[in-house]
Amino acid sequence: MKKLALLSLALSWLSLSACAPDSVGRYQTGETKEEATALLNGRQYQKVIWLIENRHAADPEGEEAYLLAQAYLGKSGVEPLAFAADISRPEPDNEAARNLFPQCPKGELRSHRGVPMKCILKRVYLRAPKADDPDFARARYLLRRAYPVPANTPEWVNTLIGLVETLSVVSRAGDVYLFAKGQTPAQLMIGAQVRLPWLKNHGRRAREEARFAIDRARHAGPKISGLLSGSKADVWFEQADGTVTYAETVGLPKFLDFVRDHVLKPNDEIRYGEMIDRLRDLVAQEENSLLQTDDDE
Amino acid sequence: MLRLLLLLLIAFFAVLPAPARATDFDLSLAYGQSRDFWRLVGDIQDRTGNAAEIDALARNRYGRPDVIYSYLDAAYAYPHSHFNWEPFGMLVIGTRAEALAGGEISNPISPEIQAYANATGIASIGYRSLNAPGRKTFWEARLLGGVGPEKRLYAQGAEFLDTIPVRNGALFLGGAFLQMMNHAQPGEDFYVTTDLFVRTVYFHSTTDAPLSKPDEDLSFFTVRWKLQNEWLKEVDTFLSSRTRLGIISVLGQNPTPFLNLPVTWDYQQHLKTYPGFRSTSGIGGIARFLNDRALPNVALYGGFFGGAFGGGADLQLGPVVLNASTYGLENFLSPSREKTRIWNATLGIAL
Repeated sequence: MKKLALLSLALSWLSLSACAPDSVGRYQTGETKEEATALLNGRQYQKVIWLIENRHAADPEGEEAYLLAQAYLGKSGVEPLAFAADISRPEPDNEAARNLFPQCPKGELRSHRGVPMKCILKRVYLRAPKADDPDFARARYLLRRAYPVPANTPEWVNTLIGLVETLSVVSRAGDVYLFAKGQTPAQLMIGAQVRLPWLKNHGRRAREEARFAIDRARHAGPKISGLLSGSKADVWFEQADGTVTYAETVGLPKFLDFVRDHVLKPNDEIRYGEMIDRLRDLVAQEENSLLQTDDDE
Repeated sequence: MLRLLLLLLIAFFAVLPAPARATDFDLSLAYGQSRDFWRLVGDIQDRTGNAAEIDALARNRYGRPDVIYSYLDAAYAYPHSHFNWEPFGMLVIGTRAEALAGGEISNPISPEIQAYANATGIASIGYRSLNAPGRKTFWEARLLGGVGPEKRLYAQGAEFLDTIPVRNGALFLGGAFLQMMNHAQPGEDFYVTTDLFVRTVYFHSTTDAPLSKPDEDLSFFTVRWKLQNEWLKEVDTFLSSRTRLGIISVLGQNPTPFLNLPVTWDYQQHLKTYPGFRSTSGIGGIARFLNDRALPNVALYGGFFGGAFGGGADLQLGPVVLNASTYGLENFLSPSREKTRIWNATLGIAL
């Protein structure tokens, strides 16, 4: 009996020593980069957000802002490798996919070689969160706050920030494109905004995000376009930079006139001509209303 | 450089005094593994540029470090006539061949992959205590030096989709260690064993830093320390009339009882002298079942070591000791310091 009791005691001790502190090991405070990264590894994005935001009265800065931004990015569904992988997968079957460049290949892309850039951008648009999605927008804000100067930012961080800015621009451009084709974006259907302010807001923000994206791309080499398109060429940002600069110089209505008169091919004219006219009229109305507002003020 | 070092070591051993009497010969062979990370590295490199397949490979591997190692350690000791001091009465010459490989993918938002592999030959020389009957305290001090090839890999973010370069170089190490083991019997049936180990090593690698992490430092000092105690009460059980039950406590980096990690582990993990209390402490229970000849024939132990459950069993059959154990080892490659479950087997022979 005594032997049995001793054996039980020994086994109990072994069991207790093995199991008891486990809950202590799992207790997380998110106070260190170590813990936050462990939670990111486990894709517990909401937990990182909760832990970091509860420790700060105001938005954090530096490394903490970067960790928080990563958590918001994960929560909005953007994991860079997974996102890049999604671009190759078959297009989703929805109204936006049917209206946006319907001639583009719809199936799985084994290689991005030879696929027109607009088709890659279409896939980016279909997978990206909406630019004003609260989690995605907060991630964008925190990333800018964590690393405000591209020249002083590590290359990969510039790549990540550039990716987020690029997704924002593509998302807005896709929305405006569909809007110009007569498809009403969700934001307008729920009546939260009227058409002109919505367009104005999208245009302004897209221009700002394009500038940020270009700035980041200058300090990230070809990695942003590489991640999204598999192409090492920096062609995206060279073209975007030139386009933004030109549009800002001549004004958007004149820019759209220029596109219609000199860039569109005869086939494109049939497809996109009417859409560009509608967009041009809307932008002109917006500029007039802005002038009117300025006069009133 | 490598040849010169080997020639110096051979010359050093050649001029040593010839062995006399009462020699010791220890041999140990160890193998430990979680998973083979380099297989994953190979799979990723085979799919260069294919984001979908690379993502599929990496998707469930974030924060799961892997490691694999093996080593063969031999030591030959004999009484010397250099000085007359029993605590260091034997000259000991050791050789060791070890291989270590591992890596980790971390953070799905800001992805990072790191992998390393090295094979190192280590020679050592020093003194240890004479194995006299009734001795309670044993000392050992050795100088050690080694060299071997290594390869490393690092990529971050978009670099996953490029061809990830494997960087090659040579790893040199030099250092010393001191070990002390004491068996005390404070009461009639109460035993305390103390095992103290301190090792300092300077590592120098010729491998270049990765392009996207140019400030990575691959030449540095490490200090490893470990204090292991067994607090045992002897009782009579039906398994053995001399059963010792008690507590085993460990302090030091990787506080795992009876587990000797490869020397180059300290280099690959950029070992910190004090990585925090949780990372340097462990406690558990131990049971030893002794036979009539007072040999610790069987030992079972388990507990919470370095923040994770660990345990193992020792079996002694004459001069042969077999050990099987498992521990959760902390990985310092990434900021999250995730643990990997390692399964270890050791065969030791003491002649």
